[in-house]
Amino acid sequence: MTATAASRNTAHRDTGAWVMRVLLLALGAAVLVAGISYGVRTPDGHVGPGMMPAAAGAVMLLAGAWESLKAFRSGREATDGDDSTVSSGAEGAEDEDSQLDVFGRTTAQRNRAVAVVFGVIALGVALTYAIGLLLGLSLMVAVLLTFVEKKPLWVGVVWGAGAFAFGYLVFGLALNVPLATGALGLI
Amino acid sequence: MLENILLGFQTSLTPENLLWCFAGVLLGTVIGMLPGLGATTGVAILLPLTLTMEPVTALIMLAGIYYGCQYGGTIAAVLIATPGDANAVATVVDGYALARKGQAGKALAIAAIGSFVAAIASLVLLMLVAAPIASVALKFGPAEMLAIMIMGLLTIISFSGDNLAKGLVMAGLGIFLSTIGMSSGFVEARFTFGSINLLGGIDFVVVMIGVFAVGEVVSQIGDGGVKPIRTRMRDMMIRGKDVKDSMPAILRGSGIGFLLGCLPGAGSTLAALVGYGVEKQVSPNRKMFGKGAIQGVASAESANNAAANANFVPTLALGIPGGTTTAVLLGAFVMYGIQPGPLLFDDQPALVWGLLTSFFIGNVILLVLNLPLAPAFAQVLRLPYRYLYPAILFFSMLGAYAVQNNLFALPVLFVAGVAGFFFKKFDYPTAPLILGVVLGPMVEKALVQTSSYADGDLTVLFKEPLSLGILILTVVIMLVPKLVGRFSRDRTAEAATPTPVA
Amino acid sequence: MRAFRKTTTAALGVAVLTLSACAGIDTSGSGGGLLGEFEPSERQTMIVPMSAGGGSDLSGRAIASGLEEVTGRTMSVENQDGGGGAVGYANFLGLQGNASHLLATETALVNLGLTQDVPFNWESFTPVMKVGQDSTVVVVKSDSPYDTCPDVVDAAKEGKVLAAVSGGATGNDAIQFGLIEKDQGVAFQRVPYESGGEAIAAVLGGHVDVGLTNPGEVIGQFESGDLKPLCVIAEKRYEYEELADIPTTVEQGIDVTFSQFRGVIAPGGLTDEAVDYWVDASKLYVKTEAFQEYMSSNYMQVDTAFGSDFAAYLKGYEAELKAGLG
Repeated sequence: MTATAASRNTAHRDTGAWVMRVLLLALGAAVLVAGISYGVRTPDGHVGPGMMPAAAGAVMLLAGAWESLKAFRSGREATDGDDSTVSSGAEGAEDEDSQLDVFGRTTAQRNRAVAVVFGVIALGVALTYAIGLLLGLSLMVAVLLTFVEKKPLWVGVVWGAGAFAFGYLVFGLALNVPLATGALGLI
Repeated sequence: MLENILLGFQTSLTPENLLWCFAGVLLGTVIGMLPGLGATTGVAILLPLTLTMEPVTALIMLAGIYYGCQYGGTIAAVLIATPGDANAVATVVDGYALARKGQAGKALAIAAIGSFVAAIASLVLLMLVAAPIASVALKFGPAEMLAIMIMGLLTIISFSGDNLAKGLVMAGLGIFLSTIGMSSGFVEARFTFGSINLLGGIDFVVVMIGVFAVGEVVSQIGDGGVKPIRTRMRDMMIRGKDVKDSMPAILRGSGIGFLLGCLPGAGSTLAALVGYGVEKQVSPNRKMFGKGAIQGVASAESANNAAANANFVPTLALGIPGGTTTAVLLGAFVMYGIQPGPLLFDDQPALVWGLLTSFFIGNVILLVLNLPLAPAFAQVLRLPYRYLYPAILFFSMLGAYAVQNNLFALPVLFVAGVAGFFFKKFDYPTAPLILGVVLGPMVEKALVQTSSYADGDLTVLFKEPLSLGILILTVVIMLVPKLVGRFSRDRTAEAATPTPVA
Repeated sequence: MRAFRKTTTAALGVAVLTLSACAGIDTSGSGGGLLGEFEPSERQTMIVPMSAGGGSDLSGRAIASGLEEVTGRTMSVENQDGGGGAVGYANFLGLQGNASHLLATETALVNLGLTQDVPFNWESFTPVMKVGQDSTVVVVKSDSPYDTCPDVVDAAKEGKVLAAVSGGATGNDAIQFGLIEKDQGVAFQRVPYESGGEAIAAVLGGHVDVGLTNPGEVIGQFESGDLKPLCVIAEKRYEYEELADIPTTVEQGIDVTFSQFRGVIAPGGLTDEAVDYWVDASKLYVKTEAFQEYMSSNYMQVDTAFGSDFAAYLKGYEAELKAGLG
């Protein structure tokens, strides 16, 4: 749908895409160097522990450079026309590759929502180490509903408790998964 | 043969065995659905509970869990883009795309039908020619396995969609992640930085859940409140035409899956990836792959199920596990006092044929369960996303933990989720990443083996007739359709509209 | 999983258990109830540092249910795999002084400390019980020209012999081949495989010349004649009827007897009473029928050792291992 617009945008799409490219290129270079230092071949001429990392790093570097070059030239790289920006199917039809705001929110607002959710997830992860897996994750569910989605408190509590009960019954009791209790060792 | 089958049904159709078969496939579906818990864990967890049963009953139930998981893994893959079982990873690509279009019911139904056809076809082969096929599978040495791994790697082309460069970057990243920690081929551990948890490696299931589930959830939030998917009844139900259009894909997938599943050490995840990858190259509907092609789901699911059954070829005919789950099942044999091995078919006909015929029964039960359940499960997507996504996050995090019962999975999951979000934002295809993580260790193992086998001379790959044959076949499958497409542009455009070619 | 600290808070201050502390373990002094003075908490945990379904898992589950029987307390099994056991052992290190956790151990206990950058070695823990050895048989394909282990060694002197090695470059197979190489002054060309099953498939397919395996995995192939056992790496022959014909390495003039042990350890820093308790419980367990059945169905060689005897065994084992790796 927005394919042509998006490919026109590619060159001056936000700096984010370029940060991403540089990061992946840097990682590729680091992996390549590490791979070479592990030894691509063993002294007696066999495949060494560094061969796979070196190959992976080289692929990241070369393909990354190729892709950066294409992006740099931009504009006309997509000869096949109608589907140049839809890459993996996992994102489906509604991917958000253009800057257009379909839902009437500004980019800043959308980015903030993303940051908040990631923040809550990170908090949930940290909590699991402190108060245990089930409690931490259930609390995360409650917080997401109550504070991020601004639902009434009882909704958050009900979902959190439901998640807790399901996790405890199915994972803990039925499937015997040893649920980590965290530093406090509550449950 | 016929009397063996009769003997088998006499065993498997007793009320007790039927009941446990049903319990097994039901449990398997549930375990398969939960992210992080796969068939191997499911069977291992329930194994101790079966010790008091008759061996054949216990095995019927445990096997039911195993192939039930293959059906269950699909459900989460289609509905929430989280493969419930590692083997369902290739299903996510088109299954989830179909779900976003409101056709989740259709995707789930074709998955069930494809799985069923594949299961029955591979079962017939298993019954007729298990022993000869098993001895052919043994002919696959290091060079042949390396050739197959190269075939697997080349499917990156299929999974990269239209941006091969980005797909390659992701595959490289995946292979890098797979080299973290200890490996079977070398003394020294890599990229561990002194951390015990990194020594243990990055589990691909955790990466997969992070990139697909967490990354997808946050992307949807970034999109701004996804509307619940309201599907019309017409789209929920699968139609005869869909099944007819998918049949060639199902049969091809079954064939590929069965062949790969017979090889010890190849595995159903590889089978699903190759099945999808090949189908994307040869399907008349290939232009729609990645955007919700029903054939994509059909090929991945049938390949995965055929491979799961084919794992029983070396297991039953030779007593050598075909994969990790069948290895656990072989352990169960020993615990019940049954000696697996080449004589099993002769020594224990009632047990073997009872087990095999129970596969028929189990798969029929699964089909009957899954077809009506498909539209019902699809209803989950009607839930407003703000209620749905906290639950998705909860299950994916719990599941990631359950992979190794290690809290370290959660920070890994978080990082993978953040990365997954940015990959989607900047159009990096995520399937090649998973492909890299899954195939990395297999490719490395095959490389090291081939190197030892041939004194460091990797060109043996082109000297052994079998491996050369596999390579040529790979090139033909992966490249010829592309070239043909190049030569006749207009015809490709025609193929972009899904016209069925049976 | 760390809920049971309170039972042993007193022991928390105790430093890493050393050999000298180990030597103090003596079960003769325990009086009082059935299993001595120490009263464990209601729920016990057996940690298996390997994935569910493998040999360590089966052993851990068998011992756990056996100990449940003799102690009358619940013992649940937890799999904590990763890094060839490193993750599980490292977590176990964090349970210093906690008497309600045990760990199903094998070669990796000694092996990891020698080969990987890990914060523990076998002396960080309290050895409780060794149940016996899971010995290894050298196998070839039925039509192989080799009939004895010296045949294989001689072939390696003259040309290339491909040997399937599963379980990693520092695992059991690798150590055993290393010891044979050292003893006989030869070198095998090692081909790594992920699992024992894959290695056997490679032997059967003729891709490697020789492989190592636990007999439980291949008894069916012995019966059908697809695989030929050459020798068992051990001092004494198997007592199991179907394996009693296999000669030992020692009989054939190869001085290597290294084998994988299986057993149970407790965290370091336990009170003497707690150690006595587990040792006594273990001694009761090995007298049960369930124990005999577990050992025989897996063709393991019963060779028990408890507490300080187990520690002494581990010390010798470590020296042997070092030689095999070197």
